[in-house]
Amino acid sequence: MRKYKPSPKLLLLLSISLILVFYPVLLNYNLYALHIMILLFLYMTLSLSWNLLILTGYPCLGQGAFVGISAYVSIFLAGSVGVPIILAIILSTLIAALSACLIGIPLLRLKGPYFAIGTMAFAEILRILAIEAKGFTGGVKGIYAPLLGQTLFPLIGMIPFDSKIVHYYIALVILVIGATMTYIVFYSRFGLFLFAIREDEESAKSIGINVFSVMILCLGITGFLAGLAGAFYAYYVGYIVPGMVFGFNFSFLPLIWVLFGGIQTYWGPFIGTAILFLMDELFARPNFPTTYQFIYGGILVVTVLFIPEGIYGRLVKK
Amino acid sequence: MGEYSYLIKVIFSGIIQGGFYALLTVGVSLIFSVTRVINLPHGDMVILCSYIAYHMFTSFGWDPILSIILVVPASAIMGKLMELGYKKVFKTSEWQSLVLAFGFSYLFQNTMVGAFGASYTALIIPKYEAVIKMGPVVTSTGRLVTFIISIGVLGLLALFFRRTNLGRAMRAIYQDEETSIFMGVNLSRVYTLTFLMGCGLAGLVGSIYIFLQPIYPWNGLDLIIKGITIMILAGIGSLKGIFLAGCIIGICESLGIFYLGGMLGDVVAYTILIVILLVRPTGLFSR
Repeated sequence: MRKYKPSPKLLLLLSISLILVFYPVLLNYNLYALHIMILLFLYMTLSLSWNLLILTGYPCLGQGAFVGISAYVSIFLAGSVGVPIILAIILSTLIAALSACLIGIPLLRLKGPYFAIGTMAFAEILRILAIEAKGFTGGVKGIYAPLLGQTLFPLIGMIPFDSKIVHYYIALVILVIGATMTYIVFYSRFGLFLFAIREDEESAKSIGINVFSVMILCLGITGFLAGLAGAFYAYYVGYIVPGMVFGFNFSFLPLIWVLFGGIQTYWGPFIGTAILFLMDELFARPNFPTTYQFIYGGILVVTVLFIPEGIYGRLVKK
Repeated sequence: MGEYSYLIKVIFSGIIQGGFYALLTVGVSLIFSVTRVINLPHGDMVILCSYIAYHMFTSFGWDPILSIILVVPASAIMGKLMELGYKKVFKTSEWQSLVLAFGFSYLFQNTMVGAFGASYTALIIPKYEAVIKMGPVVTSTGRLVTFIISIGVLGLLALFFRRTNLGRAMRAIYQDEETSIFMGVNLSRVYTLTFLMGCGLAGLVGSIYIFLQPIYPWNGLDLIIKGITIMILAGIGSLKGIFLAGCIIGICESLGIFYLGGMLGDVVAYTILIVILLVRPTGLFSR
């Protein structure tokens, strides 16, 4: 009988997930370290969702729209309606997914760059509407998320929802949900449909793939993941303004991270987000507080021109 | 009459804005129709050039109109540099050149924020602020100059596309690239000249942008979305169409601002963009 030998890849994965689970203990509950990781997990989820849509060759420049919808709706549900927070997060995530499907019905008639510009305009319209609809969103002054001190989890009982450690594990769970969903998409029949659409939409149609409904479902998953990250982000930061959630950070940064890590690969978004976000947060922002965004522009241009397959793609190809 | 005289004023100011938008769009549309690249940094180059014109005025007292001779070559050179990048990804896939364009745009914006600061800058020259009354409509010298320059340059461009070999070559590439190569068009040379011209136009637009609006480093995205809207509304390959579409957007926008307020006025253009993409993606005036 052969002895079972786990592959080095699996061992690496296992050790990373062990480190992530015990990360708060290892770093002695350092609040800043926790904060960095929470943001990293949320941004990773966003990158995963962006990467999912680009699998079909449709670039989306309006990811922020789904983040924003979800953030505002969940604050509205929990704050004004009085729905329990967990339920509000779930509901607003579903609403973001639904709105992604609905906006897909008209926008998916557009191809390539036109689709990208359509989504960009969509996010921009929502941003301006959010500024104007002062009663619902608080306008440019923004809106506070309700305090989360005594949140009732239906199953577990009272949990102090506002402690950083709880936030850390919720963000980790969100990332695991995102990673699992993308994994399923990547290695399933549905994923093959997406690849087929990317290669040639007409041939995909001719072998019987219902391109439109596959794309709508893909957009729905994209909206779901972006919405999940967005709803939790709203509570984590505790305060949102239209320029923040509909703006640059959520629409364009995932694009840069995914391109850098390796577009249309499973591990690319993880690697790209981890490297660039940590570089940004630990090195660029403290040292170049006003010009750090310039670095992102440079990285984007250099990546597209010299390593279009991304860091992970380059490593795998050799 | 009361209500309607307001309406006439609003529509007139929309037409003046529209002439400016048309000139803005010509550069974007020229580059897109020949090379199939949506040149997102176009709007940022406009803003950068108007910053240059602004500083030429405050430091050396150059009239913004005079600074055209400086900013047009400068932006044309920037266009040439960007073309070196676009060349690498031209035909690989459509979204790659879009992403590259986005990266350039981002570099431009942050250069401007770093160099000029992230605040609104307005240039007030008494000569260009004088009020002109023509019957029911009122405008300022600066806006009128903008309109005259726009119309003049559009007219010159129309002649250029009709009469010169280079203009004909550009139109030929738009209609059928392969055939135009067989007919002896030097593709890469025309591409380069297209970028020089398109981006040079951005410089020209930048120096007259000063008369219309305060300069703000993040406004480039707004400008380019309006440019793309007009380009799609007009359809490709029709200068008259670009002018009419520019006026339509300008008028809709000033009506929107008049009746809905400043922020929602911007939504008008974006909504027209999405609607036109869905209803008639080939444009209203395309042949």
